[in-house]
Parts: sequence; structure tokens; C-alpha cells
Amino acid sequence: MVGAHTAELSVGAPLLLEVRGVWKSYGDRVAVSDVHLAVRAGEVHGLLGANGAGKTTLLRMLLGLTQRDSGELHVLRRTPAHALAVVPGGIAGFVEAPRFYPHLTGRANLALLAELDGLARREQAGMAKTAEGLLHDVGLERHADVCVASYSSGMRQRLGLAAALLRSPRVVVLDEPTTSLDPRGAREVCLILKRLAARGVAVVLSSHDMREVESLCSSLTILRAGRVVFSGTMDELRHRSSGDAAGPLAAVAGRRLRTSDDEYAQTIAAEHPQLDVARAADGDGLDIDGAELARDRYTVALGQAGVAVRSLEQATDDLGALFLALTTGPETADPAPLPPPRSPEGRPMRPRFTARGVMIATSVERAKLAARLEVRGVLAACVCVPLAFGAAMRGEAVVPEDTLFGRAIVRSGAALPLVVLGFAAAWVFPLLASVVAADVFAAEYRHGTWPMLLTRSRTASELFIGKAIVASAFSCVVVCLLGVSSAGAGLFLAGNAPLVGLSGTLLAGAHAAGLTAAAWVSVLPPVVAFTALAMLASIAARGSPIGVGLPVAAGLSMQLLSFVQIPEVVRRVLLTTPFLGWHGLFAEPQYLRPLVEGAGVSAAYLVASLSAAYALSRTRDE
Amino acid sequence: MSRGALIVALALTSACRSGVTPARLEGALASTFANLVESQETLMELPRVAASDLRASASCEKPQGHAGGEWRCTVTWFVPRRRVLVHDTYELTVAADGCYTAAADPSEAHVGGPRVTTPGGKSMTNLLYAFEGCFDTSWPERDRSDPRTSDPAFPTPLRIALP
Repeated sequence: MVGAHTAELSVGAPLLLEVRGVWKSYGDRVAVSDVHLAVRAGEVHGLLGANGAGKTTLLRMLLGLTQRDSGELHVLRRTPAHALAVVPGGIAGFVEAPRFYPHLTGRANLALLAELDGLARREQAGMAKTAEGLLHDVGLERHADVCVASYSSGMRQRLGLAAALLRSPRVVVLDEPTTSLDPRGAREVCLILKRLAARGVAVVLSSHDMREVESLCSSLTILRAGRVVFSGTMDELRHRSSGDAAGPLAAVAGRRLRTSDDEYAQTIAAEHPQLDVARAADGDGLDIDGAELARDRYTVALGQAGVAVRSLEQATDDLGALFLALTTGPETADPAPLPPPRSPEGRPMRPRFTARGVMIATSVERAKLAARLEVRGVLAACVCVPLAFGAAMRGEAVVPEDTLFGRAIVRSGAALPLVVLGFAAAWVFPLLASVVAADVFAAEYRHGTWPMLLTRSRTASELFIGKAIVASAFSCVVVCLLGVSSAGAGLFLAGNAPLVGLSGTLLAGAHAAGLTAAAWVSVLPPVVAFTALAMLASIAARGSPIGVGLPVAAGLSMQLLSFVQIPEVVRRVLLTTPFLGWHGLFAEPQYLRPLVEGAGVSAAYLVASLSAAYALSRTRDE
Repeated sequence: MSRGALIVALALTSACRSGVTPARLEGALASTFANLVESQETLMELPRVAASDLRASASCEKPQGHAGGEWRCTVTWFVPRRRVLVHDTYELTVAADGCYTAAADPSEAHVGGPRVTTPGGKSMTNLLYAFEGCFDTSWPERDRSDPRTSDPAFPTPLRIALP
């Protein structure tokens, strides 16, 4: 009933999705070739084809995840990227299996995605209600507070549908939405999609299952090797399948004959050479192939011979047979034309990022960070380790003499944070800078969630900047925590006594404390630069171990390099040199050249690393 | 062509040359030593001695066969109370950024051992026995005795003045 209503509704309904002459190649392989498609409001459009036919590539282009080489593609009269930015009333969906953050619950995942779409702030109460309703609709209300890690693939599929519908879209694009679902789950999803269509939403879904498409879709497109071999309504397809005997159906549409005596019937078939009669592989009757007239003569002959015909039906259904005929066997169509040259017009314009979008992306990243246990562990270690060091040094006769201010550690409270500062420069700061930075992108790649983020309202630039801000902020926070904790440990160990500076002058307690604070602040630029380096390494290697290991190895190598005889100009451009710039603060007269130079070097590393990381992340989008 | 090449060569030589020179090290060491004497007198609650009254100077050289950062310096200073000129020898390890650690040669130290006793009988670390310091490796080398008398080569945009 709903399907019929849907079909009626779509007639004359506004065109919500239009694809005209779209091409996409990967190297020499043409994935999508001159595809045309039009989907109206209230229409459920099926996309069928064998594996590698180009369905997923086409869906990725519809969701703005892949850029087309040429042709036109409009969603709601916009480019896909612009349509993604529209919430509510834009486009939503998923390709391949929907992926989520496994350590978060289903509800928390939906909340993050809602925030990313700017929905959480806009209508917090309404949003929660919508999410609750969707979880109920997809049958996940009892599992909403369970971590996604324990979800079955069917449950993830349902959550993927809920995540798409959270945006209240007018166009829904789904890649095999009933895969992994049990028959009941598949039926429920089909009902949801039919209800959406009845409300005027345009649905595009890919499928391998002709029966599902037949029951759900009002129109369909069949792809073969990236080319459209059929596009039209289900009625047009049915008409084509039942019509022409010389068409592709005739080649494959056999009949299944069941008689009162199959063995005798097969013997009689020998007198009818126009027919090909054989025992059915499953033993249930005879499979016969041949023209309709020959079949009629054969059945009459069976009756005359005293063999009753119990049934004569198609061995496969018409649509299934047509699908097989269209997507398998020898190609009869003309060879694919050469793709047109890539044109700038063919590449979709990306919406520009906005400050609000960056703020939202930052907020989402912060929320994800707060949910990670290892982050809390690092913060706790930054507080506890200096305090433990201070406690261990209390009453200890041996002091770290080979470190600047090491001898003063039991004389002045300002010395301990400076000793920690000197010690941390080699590898601790690069390590702390990498903990989060190495994982902000790597976690998305690991969980497969990056495409999901790209199908929300935020642009890739906003997401990138949000991640960079959160990673840098975390690095700064851990350095500050370490500094504050070290200062506390120093006061605990030696009190607020004067400190002997690096020119032998006495610095009063408060003065020394102020300079110590300035020294800790001065290491923030190189720490942020190491953060960017960790992001770059993790994006390049698609993994967090390299993202952590490379900055630490780079920090240690640069530190070792500065100990050997190298040209002064090389020493000054090493990223570990700015960690030492604070020494001049404790000299008399102060010299700030190393600090200024170090800030410049750090800024250069930061810009270079971030630019490379951004460029690399964009090439990895596809 | 030849002038341009000369300028480039000079710039490269200047950029590649280490900023740790005997003149800079001597100026920084003498100054730091004098300040340390003043600081130590203050901490020991002895009558104040001005660093300038010590007329400290230093002479540094790289010992034969020692590693790149090793220096041997002799500090000459005037002991105001005894009104004599004395020499102390220090072994220095100098890093490329101009920071160094100095340890007195115990065999000929006028500065005393690792610890000193205050007039009140309290034992404390002898600041002059082993100490550390830093100097700007871009200081001009016009005045070898006191870096404070020379202008910094790099303009200092601000001076961090704290209580």
C-alpha cells in the first residue's frame, strides 16, 4: 500500500537529485561512465549491479565523498558538499558499512553527530527526543547505552540509519541498508524507508537483492561495469521482462515442469527436439527451455500419453532473470566511449569553512577526547610524576649536577621546575605533544569513521582545524600541568628561597618564580610544532604508533645532533633548540634572541607540518 | 660576481661558525664568577662585596686532545679583604648554545671546597666550587672582559621585568 502511494506521490514531485553524464576514473579504470539519474521527492530509487559495477562510487559522489571527473551532479539544486551543509532538509546517508566510535555508546555516538551538525546546541531538548525516537524506530532503544564495540553488524547498520535520519534529510543515500540484518530487521528497515518516501523524502539505495528492490523501489538503475544498462520505473522493467521473447530474458528464463511421472515425461521429450529438457538439479521436476509453441506441443503430448501436468512455472522470477541477463553474460552494448577531459566545472565547489563550524568541530573533538581513558592517564601522570620526583629528592644528598639548576634543587623552589624543563626537552615534550595529536586522525582511520564525519555538515577543513586545535590545546594543557605540578614540588622541596641565576646573580623568590613561569610558557611554541609533526606523521602512516614514535625519535635525534659539531645555522633550525631559549631569561643582562628565533623556527615547523598534513588528509579523503 | 660571491661566502661562514668563542666565554665567566662571589657573601651574611670590586678576569683555552666542548679557564680576581690578586682554575663544559658548567680545580682552588661554613657555623653549598652559566653566543666581541659593556647584536624586543 505504502509503495503504491509512494509511486503516486512521486509523479510530478520536485526533482531532488539529478545526475547528468557523470564520469569517474581511478587511473586507467573507469568506475562510472556517463551515468544519468533523476530521483524525485517520494521516490525510492534502487541502484543495482554486480560487485564493481560502480554503485558505491556513484553513492560516494552523491554524498560528496568522491569528486567526479566530469558531468553534473545536483542534490536539492546544490553540489553534494553544499547539500551536506543543509540541516535539516539536506542529504544524509552512508556508504559501505556505517562506522562509529566503538568506545562510545550508541546514544553518545548519535549525540556527537548531532553536535557536529549543529543540532545539539540549536534544540537540545528536541534533539534528545528525536534521537530517542530514532533509536526506537530502528529497534535499538534497549541497546542505546551499550558501547558500539559490542554491537553486531546488523545493529551498526540500524545505528547508521538512525544517524542518517537524525539530520531530517530530504534525500537519503544508503549503501545496501539491509545487509547483515535478519529478515525481521530487513523488513523493519524497508518499512522505515517506505514511510520516509511517503513523507516526500527521496531515497536512493544500492542492493544486490532484486526482490528487495522490487518490493521497495518505485524506480531503479542497473549498472554494469560503470555504465547504465537500464534506468526507469519498476513497471517499465516488468514490461520489458514479460514482453519480448527474443530479448535478453529469453536466453535465461527457463521453465520448471512437474508431472505425475517425470521419468516418462523425459522419455517423451526425446520426440520434441525443439525443446531442451533435463532433470532439475534439485530433483524437483524437469527444467525445460524452448519456444512457447514447442512447450505447448510437448504438454499436449504428455496429456495424450497419460502423464498429468501438475505445474509449469518459470524457474526464476522475471525481474531476477532480467537482472542476470543485464548484468552477466556477454556485453551487447557498444564499447564504452572515452571519458571527456576533466573539467574544472566538473569538480564540486566546497563550501567555505566558518568560524562557527570550526568551533563546533573543536567542541566535538574535545568531547571525544574527554571520553578517552588514556588521556586522563596522561593528565594524571603529569600531575603525579613531578610530585613524586620532589618527594624522592627530599632528604637526598645526591642532586642532578649535570643539569642546569640541578645543584640548586634543594636550595630554591624555582630550581626543580627548571630541572624538569631541561630534562623534558629531549623526549618528554615530543612524547606529550604526540599522545593526542598522533591519534586524532589515526583513530578515525582505525575505526573507519572519517567518511561518516565527512557526510555531516562540517567541511573537511573545519574538521581538520578542529582536530589541530584540540591536539594543540591538549599539548599545551599537559605542559602547563607538568609545569604547575613541578612548581608545587619545588616549593614543597625547597620553599621560596632565592635562586642563583645563570650569571651568578641572586634572584629573589617571587622574581625567580615569575621567570620560571615565563620559561615554561616559552616551550609552548615548539611543543605545538611537535604536535603538528605528530599529526603529519600519523596521517602519512595512517597509524598512531608512527605518529608518536616519529616526533620522539626526531626530538632525540635533534638533541644528539646539537651535541656534536654542526654548523651553527643548522643547530639554530633544529626544533629542539627553541626548548633551550629560556636560558637567556636567567642571565644578566637577559638575552631574548634565542626565544624570538625559537618562536620563528617553531612557527615554520608548525606551518610546514600542518600544511603537509592538511594536503595529505585531503588526498586521503577518497 | 666576485663581490657577491664574497658576501655570500662571508655570510655562510658567519652563519656556520660557532658562537662559543674564547672572548665571549672569558667575558661571561669572569662576570658570573664576580656575581657569584657577591651572591655567596650575601647568602653567608658577610659584609657586602660588590662584584666590580673583584676586578675579575678570565683566560680560556681548549686543552690539547680534549673534546669539542671542553675548556680550561683561569679566573684572576682581587680578594678585597686580603687585598691580593689570586688565580683559580676551572674545567668547563660548554654547550653550543652558550651554557656551561664550571668545576674548580681542587688542587689550586682559592675558592674553597664543595661546602663552606657561615660565620654562624652553618654549612652550605659553595657556589664558587661548581657552578653553571649561560651567555648569548651572538654577543659582539669588542670587550672581552665584561659582556654587560657591549650592546647585544640582536635587538631585544622586550625585557622581562618581574618582581
